[in-house]
Amino acid sequence: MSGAEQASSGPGEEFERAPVPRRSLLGFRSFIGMYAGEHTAGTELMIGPLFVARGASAADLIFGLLLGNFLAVLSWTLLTAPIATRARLTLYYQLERICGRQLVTLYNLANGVMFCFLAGAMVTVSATAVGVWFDIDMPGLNDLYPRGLGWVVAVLVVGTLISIVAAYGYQSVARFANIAAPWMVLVFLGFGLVAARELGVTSVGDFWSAAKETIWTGGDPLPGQTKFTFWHVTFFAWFCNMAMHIGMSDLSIFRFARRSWYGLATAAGMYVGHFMAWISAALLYSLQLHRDPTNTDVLPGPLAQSAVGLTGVLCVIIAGWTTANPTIYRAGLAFQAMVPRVSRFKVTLITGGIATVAGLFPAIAMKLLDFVALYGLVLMPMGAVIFVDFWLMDRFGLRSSYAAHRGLGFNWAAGAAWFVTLAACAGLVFYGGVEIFFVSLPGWFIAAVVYVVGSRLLQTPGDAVPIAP
Amino acid sequence: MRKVLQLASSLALAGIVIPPILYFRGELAHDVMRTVMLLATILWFVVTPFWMNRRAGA
Repeated sequence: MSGAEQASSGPGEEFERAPVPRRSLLGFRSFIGMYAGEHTAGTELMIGPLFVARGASAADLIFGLLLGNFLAVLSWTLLTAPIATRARLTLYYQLERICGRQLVTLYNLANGVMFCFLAGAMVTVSATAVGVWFDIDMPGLNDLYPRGLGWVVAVLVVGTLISIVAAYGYQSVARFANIAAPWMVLVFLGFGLVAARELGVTSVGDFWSAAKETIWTGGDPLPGQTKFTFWHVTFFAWFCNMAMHIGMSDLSIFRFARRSWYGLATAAGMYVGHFMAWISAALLYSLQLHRDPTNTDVLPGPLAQSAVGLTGVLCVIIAGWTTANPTIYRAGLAFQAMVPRVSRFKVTLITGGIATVAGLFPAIAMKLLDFVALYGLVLMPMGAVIFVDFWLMDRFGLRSSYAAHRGLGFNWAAGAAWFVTLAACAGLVFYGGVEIFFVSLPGWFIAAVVYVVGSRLLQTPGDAVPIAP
Repeated sequence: MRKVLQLASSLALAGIVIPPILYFRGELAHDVMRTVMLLATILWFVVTPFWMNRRAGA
């Protein structure tokens, strides 16, 4: 279940177009459980191995994850939560007030498409677990297309089931995901312990030498992969949830927090899910490479099965399923906002169908590091717009929430910030030689500057809020 | 009753985390570890839905 939905379920009110009242605020512990559960998911089973495939060294990985996750926690605490606990509005309502309904609709489309592909990757992950029981020709690390009919059937069956459940019984699966979360965290820990032992680690003291010499040797990446350094790991860990913190999606969650420092609760998700779980998944893959250097396939099902047997396979299925389910549901909600006359059931089912088709193509899962970076990049500029609109517009003598003030359907200053930033970032990637993992940082500043300049051009002197004498 | 169920869930979680620790320390066979983890998984999913996400007394 998404944090927003979980957070709002208590009093039974969503407060979609009004600030959250004091009586509905939640304590610090609610956010710890929410983040620890949400960030130990199916994606972790792909991301950990892909670090190994990209040749990250032990020091680069461990210290890069420590720093990157710390920066992510700071981003939630210092950027997202302070705005959320002051405005107490959902992302969508706040964006609508700034950007206008038409631009928010476009944002919803982008968000929904990204969610569809992410859910598709999770269908792929779950299908690899099904492959453990059947003789299916499963995808390799550099495969873009399905290899055979067996894989297609496996993905179609898994994806159809997930889609139907998402359409019919979202709340039941959300409850199941909550129940599964503590179990899943410990199974991930089990993956790491078993794989470490099999790799020759016999005590905690042995770990560092084995990590350097056997597990993350830091050599060349596997064929078809680009090299990951300390900075790649750091920026990936920082920006892999960029849509949520710098992109401000989690305004919808932290509007329920009593204090802005509750943003520190995200550390539970980062250091359990994006540290322990990634390292455990990486250990599983290292073990596979250690046993057979020619087997470079990143297939979570067989990896988990080799470590802890059927429990591991169940973990892969449940992790993929409980991640895909809310993702398909959220994508459906995003699309439904564009076609409100069509029922949520139909929209969710169609969205699940698109995610299933995406899941047929292993390229999304196998290139998950790049896709996650793209996902953050696409939604990040709107986070910069919200930040500038909330904190800086008055200082520049400009009107915040301009679309609401003027009754605009499309605030061109915000639209320009989004499109110019994406175009500039694409230029940096394709012509400037900057890798996608790093481009979002300059992109944030581009978005902020374009929004201020655009607002200066768009707004008239009469729009500014009069400064008190 | 709720306390008994919570105790059973705690035992299930112990059954998930302790076997890999013992295996890591070389004190448990791989097959035994797998079996205990599977039984603990079954126990967790059978027992926990009866108390988690439900109000006390409900």
